[in-house]
Amino acid sequence: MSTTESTENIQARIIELLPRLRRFARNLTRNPHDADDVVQIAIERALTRLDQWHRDARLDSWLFRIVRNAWIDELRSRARRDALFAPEEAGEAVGIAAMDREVDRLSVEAAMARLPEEQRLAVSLVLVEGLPYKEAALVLDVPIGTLTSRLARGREALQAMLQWAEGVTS
Amino acid sequence: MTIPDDILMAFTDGELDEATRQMVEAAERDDPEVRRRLAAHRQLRAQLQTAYAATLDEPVPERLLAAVRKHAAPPAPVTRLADKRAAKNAAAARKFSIRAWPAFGSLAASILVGFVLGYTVWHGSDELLKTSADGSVVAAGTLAKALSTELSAERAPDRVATIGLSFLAKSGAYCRTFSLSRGNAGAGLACREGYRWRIHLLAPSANDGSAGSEYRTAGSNDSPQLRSLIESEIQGEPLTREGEEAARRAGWLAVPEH
Repeated sequence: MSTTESTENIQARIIELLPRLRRFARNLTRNPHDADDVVQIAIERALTRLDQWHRDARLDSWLFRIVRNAWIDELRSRARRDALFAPEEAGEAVGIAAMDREVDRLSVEAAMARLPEEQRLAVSLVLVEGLPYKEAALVLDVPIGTLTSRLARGREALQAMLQWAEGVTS
Repeated sequence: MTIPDDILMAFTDGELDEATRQMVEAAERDDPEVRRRLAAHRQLRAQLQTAYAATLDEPVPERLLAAVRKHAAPPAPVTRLADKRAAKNAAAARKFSIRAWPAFGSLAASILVGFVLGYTVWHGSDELLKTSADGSVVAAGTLAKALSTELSAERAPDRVATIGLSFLAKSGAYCRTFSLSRGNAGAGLACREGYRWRIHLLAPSANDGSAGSEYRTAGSNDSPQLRSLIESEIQGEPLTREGEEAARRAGWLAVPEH
């Protein structure tokens, strides 16, 4: 447990961070209900593991990381359930939106939803949540070089999609 | 000189060291092409910021605030609650099972393997399980509706409750397996008892939050209790789609064999 900060104080800071945690979780899960569920799991985990939070680490990064890990666990458990209930459908893709050429106007959110997850999360953490590269890399558990290359590819894809959408509508 | 795009991106992200930053600033002054590319990166950042700003103004659901304030219940009460409910249920099962549920009588003690604390919290107002007046746990809400109306083949993603398979139990009742797909969910078995679906097993998913556990291969160890319960209670084979449709038309009311 951090010796410099009371639990009450940390709880207050977590409450301050809730809107950003929810926003990140929505980019993570692409579903508002899943997002709130996963934030709730993460909060409960974080509060029971406050001793694992180093006081020199950023609280927001630490919580983003717990949110992400909670979502990975959730997906694994869904995969297990799917394997139990419908092995023949185990390979079925769930909700990966392919580039939909019939969409004539692409909002920023829609463009984000079309990014591969690793690029979407890099963009979400750096360009939406404003984390430094180092912190975003920690959240995603990858080296900084991996983070920046995902970020670059995500940006290029977003720019291409948004320009293409502008071209269609103008 | 051409400045690589990743340098320009890092510049707009504020990630460059002093020397490189000055180099880009000079290029921005002198080179229209660099200005154009920087503008594109800044525009994307601004678009993203604008698009996602409104999310921050949304009211935070009370359940999340409560989760922070309550300082996370330790695991111990979960166990106690499970024990309490199982005991209550076992008492009810002793009372009711002898006549109507001979086949399940021996299972009374293990009827509820894991009752997940905070169930109603997870699902908001949509309570999926409730304890009836006689102490047995029955399906409610979305789960009850899914059990009564959905065919096993109609598996849709993002459902709260998904039906696995249906079968006629040795007791003469229709039983259906289900899985719950949110949060700390699990898999279970419900059997028709009159006009309600009584929960005979609810095993929490094996997901204990530990990282690095196996991904797809874990299907075989997901709820061995459920598998063994099905194996011991099933009469013949699982229902086909036609069998399910017929049972659904009959309200899942089967006449017990005498």
